[in-house]
Amino acid sequence: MKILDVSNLSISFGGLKAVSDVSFSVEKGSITSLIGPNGAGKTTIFNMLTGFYTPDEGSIIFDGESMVGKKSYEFIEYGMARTFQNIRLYSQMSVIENVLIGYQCRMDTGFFSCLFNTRRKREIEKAARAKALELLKPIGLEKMADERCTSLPYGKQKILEIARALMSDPKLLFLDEPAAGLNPQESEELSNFIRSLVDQGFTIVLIEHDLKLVMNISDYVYVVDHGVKIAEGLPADVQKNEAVITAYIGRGRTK
Amino acid sequence: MKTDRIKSYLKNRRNLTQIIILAFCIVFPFCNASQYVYRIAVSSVLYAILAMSLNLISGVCGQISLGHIAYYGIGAYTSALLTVNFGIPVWIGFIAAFLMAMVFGLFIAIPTLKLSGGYLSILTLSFAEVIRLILLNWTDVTRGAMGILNIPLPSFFGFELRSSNSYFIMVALVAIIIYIAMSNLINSKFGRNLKAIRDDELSSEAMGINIYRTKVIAFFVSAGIAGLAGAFYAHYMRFIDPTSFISDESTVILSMVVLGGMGNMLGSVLAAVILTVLPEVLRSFSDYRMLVYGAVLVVMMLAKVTDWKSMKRALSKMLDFRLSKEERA
Ligand SMILES: Nc1ncnc2c1ncn2[C@@H]1O[C@H](COP(=O)(O)OP(=O)(O)OP(=O)(O)O)[C@@H](O)[C@H]1O
Ligand SMILES: [Mg+2]
Repeated sequence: MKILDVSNLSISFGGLKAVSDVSFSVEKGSITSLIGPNGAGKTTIFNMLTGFYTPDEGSIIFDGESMVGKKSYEFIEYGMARTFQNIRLYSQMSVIENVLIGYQCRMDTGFFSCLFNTRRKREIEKAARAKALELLKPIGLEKMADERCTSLPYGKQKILEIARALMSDPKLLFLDEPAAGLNPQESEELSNFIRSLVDQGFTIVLIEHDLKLVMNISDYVYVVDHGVKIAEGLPADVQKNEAVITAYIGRGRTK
Repeated sequence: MKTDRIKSYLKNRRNLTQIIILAFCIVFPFCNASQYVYRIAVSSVLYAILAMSLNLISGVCGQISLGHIAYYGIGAYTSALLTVNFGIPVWIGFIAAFLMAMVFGLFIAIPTLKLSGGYLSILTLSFAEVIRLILLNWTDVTRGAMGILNIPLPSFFGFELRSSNSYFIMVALVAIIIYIAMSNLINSKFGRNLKAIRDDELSSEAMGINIYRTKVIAFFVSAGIAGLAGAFYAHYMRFIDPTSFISDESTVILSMVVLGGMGNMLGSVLAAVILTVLPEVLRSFSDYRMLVYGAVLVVMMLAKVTDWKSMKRALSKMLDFRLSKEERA
């Protein structure tokens, strides 16, 4: 079953056509990867899919719902959560508070129940904390829950950002270069973590430059270059594709 | 077991400070100090309320407002004019001041909060100046520089708050309620949203926070509380004129928030008390006054009440003039 169906997505900035006529779809329970050289338009596609940019043309159907024109803060409630290419954690907040933010959209506490600290609010808060700790446990951050997130090593911060998105129980998770800047050991830990997510039934769309990682864990791969989709297919097929090889190696742009 | 619980409660520095302040507020009105001392105490409490209200938007949420005194002035004039001209009960004047300041808060929040921090600080600063000029020049209503005289004292159940210590009880009680409400807010979903907005607007948006709405609500509440403090001031002094609502006062309140630690309500209260009491105490030092004043500020900073990093961040927000969301991303 398709959970996301994107067709003819285009956007330009000034004169620059950053993405043109890109179509793709994501199967439920799969890992779909989006690869391409630097500046190909991958992040721009993510930004359109999560409401940060409004596409000039094209449609985005998520779980039967058209998402174009919806506000960016509404997407997570529909079940789309994302991480960012550069870590965007809340630097002055603790580890657990960061994760809790991912759950705000599911917490039914209004302004006045916050103001009066009602019993219902306290119960919801308690349940949310328990859930957050549950999420921190497998990534080994349970003991650091009350420390500032910036005190974590880089690799852990990247994983924490994913945990924050997971807290919202997303139906579809967008990861923008989760392995960027990680050392081999951290990268290994990360790919195991992503794999464990798939085992739990999450659906993931992944942007990644680490091709080894991509080819290892993806079910399906799309390749973009200069804002245009140049190839798609199973990882093994994409690797052999002429156009892909030229895009990557032909111009000496390999990562 | 119970004593153990109490002991561990008091071990926490914050809890201990709260208890000491609370105990002081209970005992102090019966201390028979001079009216001068009570006057300083009332003034400290009013500043504490102002600092707490500003802390909500500038400290917790990182939206630097440089014109907070405007809401104080609006509250003071609203209640004073209503009670003097129409003879309505003072407590209704208090409520009116709260609501009127909220309306003005909304009026300034709606157009500015979509912009980046630099525009907000400039606009709040100019807004406060506009309000002051209106108070000064709209003489038919505000009596301009002559000010408003004979503002009635509040009375509850037939008991008029004539003495400074009874007035202290009223404002301290309200301040404590506000402190509790603020602490509740900070430790809840709403407060976490505010902090998230302060730290990173873009990812807050991705996490489903309606940034604009959240900021507007915070502004709304903050302005209302400042207005209420203004009304307390008017009915305490029984005379107000525009000189009490100049921009310098906004700076004083902001420095209380900064010194007390951005987002730290208890810190705001302490800083408000210290910055109000200190100049009075130092009067006797005459020439050395500013020296001692400076030394105390340095001690406060070194005691890590003041959070330099967040102050630096706030400053860079104040100077942020990027227009579009993409630019800020
Ligand atoms: N807000 C914007 N305004 C103007 N140009 C933009 C904007 N966002 C992206 N672009 C341009 O669109 C193109 C695609 O950028 P994008 O960030 O999507 O690339 P990417 O595939 O994610 O690259 P990388 O692998 O380096 O992250 C680039 O040329 C970029 O300069
Ligand atoms: Mg990118």
